[in-house]
Amino acid sequence: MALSIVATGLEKHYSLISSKTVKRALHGVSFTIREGERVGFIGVNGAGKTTLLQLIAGISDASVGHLSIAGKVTAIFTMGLGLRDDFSGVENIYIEGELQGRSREATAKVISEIVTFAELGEFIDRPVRTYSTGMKARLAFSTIVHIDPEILIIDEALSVGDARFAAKATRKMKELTQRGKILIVVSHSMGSIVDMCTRCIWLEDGKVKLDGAPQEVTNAYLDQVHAEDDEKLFERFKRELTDESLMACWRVESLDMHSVASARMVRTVLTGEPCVLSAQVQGISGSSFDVRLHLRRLDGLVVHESLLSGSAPLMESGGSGPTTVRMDLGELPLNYGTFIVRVDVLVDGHIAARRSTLFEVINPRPHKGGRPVLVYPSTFNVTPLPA
Amino acid sequence: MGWRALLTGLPPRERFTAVDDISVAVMPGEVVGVLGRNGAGKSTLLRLIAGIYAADKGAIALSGDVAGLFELGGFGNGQLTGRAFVLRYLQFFGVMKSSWNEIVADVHDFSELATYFDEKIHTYSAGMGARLYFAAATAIAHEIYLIDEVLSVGDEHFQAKSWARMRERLACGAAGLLVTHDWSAVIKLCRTSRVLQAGRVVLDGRSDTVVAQYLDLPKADAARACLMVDEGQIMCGVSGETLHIGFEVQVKHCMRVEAAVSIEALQLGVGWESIILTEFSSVADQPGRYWAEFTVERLPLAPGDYLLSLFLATPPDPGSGVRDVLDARGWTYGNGVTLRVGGEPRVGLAPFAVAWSQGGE
Repeated sequence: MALSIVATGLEKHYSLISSKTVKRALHGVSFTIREGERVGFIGVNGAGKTTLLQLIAGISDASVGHLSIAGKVTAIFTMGLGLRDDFSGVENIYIEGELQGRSREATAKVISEIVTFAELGEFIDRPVRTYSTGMKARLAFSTIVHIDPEILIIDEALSVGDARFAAKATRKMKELTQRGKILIVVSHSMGSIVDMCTRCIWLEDGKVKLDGAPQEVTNAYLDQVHAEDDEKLFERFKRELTDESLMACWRVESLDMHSVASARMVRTVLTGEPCVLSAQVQGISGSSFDVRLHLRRLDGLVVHESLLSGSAPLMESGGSGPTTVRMDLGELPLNYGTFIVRVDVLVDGHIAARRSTLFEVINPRPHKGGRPVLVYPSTFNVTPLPA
Repeated sequence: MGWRALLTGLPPRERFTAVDDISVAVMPGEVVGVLGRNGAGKSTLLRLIAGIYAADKGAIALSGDVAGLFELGGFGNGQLTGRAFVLRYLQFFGVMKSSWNEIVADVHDFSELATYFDEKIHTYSAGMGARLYFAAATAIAHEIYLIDEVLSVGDEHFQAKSWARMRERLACGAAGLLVTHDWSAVIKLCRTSRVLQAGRVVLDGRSDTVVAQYLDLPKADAARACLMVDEGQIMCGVSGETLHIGFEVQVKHCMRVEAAVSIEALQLGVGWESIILTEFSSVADQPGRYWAEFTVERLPLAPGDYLLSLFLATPPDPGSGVRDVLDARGWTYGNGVTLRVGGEPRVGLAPFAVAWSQGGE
């Protein structure tokens, strides 16, 4: 019989002690997982991932809905949780085997393979309490993958153990699923979801938000997370920002950073990315104005200041709508950090209006030796001198 | 004879002198740095000045309200809420009641405690407690700030905010003492510094000189390759124009030699920033004399004096990734070079080019 998991309208309600209200951890979740699928579940904390996994593992029951599972489920929730501290690594492997309903003889056949896979060296004969977290995780993973699980559930498994072991574990799991088994992974690491899974389900507020190819779903998820991060940062430093009109009828209606490549407004820019600041200035029709650009880092360091009249003629306020002032920063020479940019509109040398906004710069390739304020092009030429 | 000896008849335990014969005077508007490794007596010194410990010998005179920014998060009464703590703080320092609301709102906002502000302090994490304390202690103007590694509270954004706030307070004429093992903090905040070692002042002077001596970086022997640049040399450039820095490199062995350049702005007590830092690039792989020229188009530096550092090193070791420094010029080695940038004075550290234009509708 083919292995499968079919969920129809799953709901899980928890009643909270402190209030009379009921918390809905899952809110109508339906999906079908067939043999050979490797499914990754993603979502922010509290989205319902763990609750769903507990239902599949049979640890708790759904409040509403139906879940039918064809196959034997093996779950690794917290790596190393099932290990017995006072027994040695080898003894734990035997105990785990018996729990899985396997004879001592059957375990004895695979034990050397498990021991080799876990790479614990002489520690394999020492009590588990002497292990580091990473070592426990390696042992737990090794015992599980060598018992031929039909449906394997792993929660955050790959975040423990070193990078090399994680790579080995990933290979092992691919091998398992290629033998026609079902794998379910919950992880915050989008990279491991994309590497390991053939399908990804994004849970949000206890519902399936998106279900599809891992690359697409994780991209959509990361976009939303980044947008929320930007929003949070903005909210946090809102108080440092201004929007003032000091002379009647004058106002800077907007001030935004635009990425030239994506042609849209951004709050996060990359070092070296071509970008333009754009301000909408509303003023008295026909009067000319100057503009000052003031850029400071969040810790107060004034990085840059320049004046429109320093390199171009003054602008004139239009009759109908606001005037757009574009400030082309070129390939952004700023290193990573958070910056506050302010635009002052000057009329006859006095500030008529001003506005500031905040943006964050990310440098994907930071310097090894330090954190310079600028990432600015320079060249180095060497010519031999006569001896 | 101490209490122990009186009550038990046992001989007093061996005594340990944590701070030994230290004199320091701090004037308003000045922060003096005290550098030292763990166990040098820094914290004891701070606590003596704050009146937490009594000195066995010597005298301390303070004029003004003291804000002790140390032992952050170590609150006397965990049963107080964050808000109640702030009110008590204001009452203690005799702040006028009419301004309480505003200050409490400011602390609430700055500490980023959100709803935790009205929870009891014993439910806070250490970081939350530290944020609350820092926000409260800097919300009102004190005359004296005693600072112990304070600016390492919170995440990167919070630290940036704390620096800005600390600078603001000190700019208003407060006096301060900063004890730390972080030499970069001393460079940024203090004109003069001391170095403590085993309870005694071993170095005293301008912060940059003191730091260079404190770091005591091993000078490269320049045996395999060397920079033909004199200590204290001044190189010149003009803001907004092309900068050429040329220097001779002599390579004595058959080996790969790479070079890097760093330009830093240092105003003692105001700030210290690395502005331009290049990656290492190849100079030579054969013995000989070479002319190396470092070029920056449209130099994005405001007029003023900068610290120029030059490094010659081997390529990184493939195993460890560590470079062998062959020769170096830099203020941290005590043999720095000055870059003097001329031009019209400007606001802002980095006047890079901005192209202005009027956009369409």
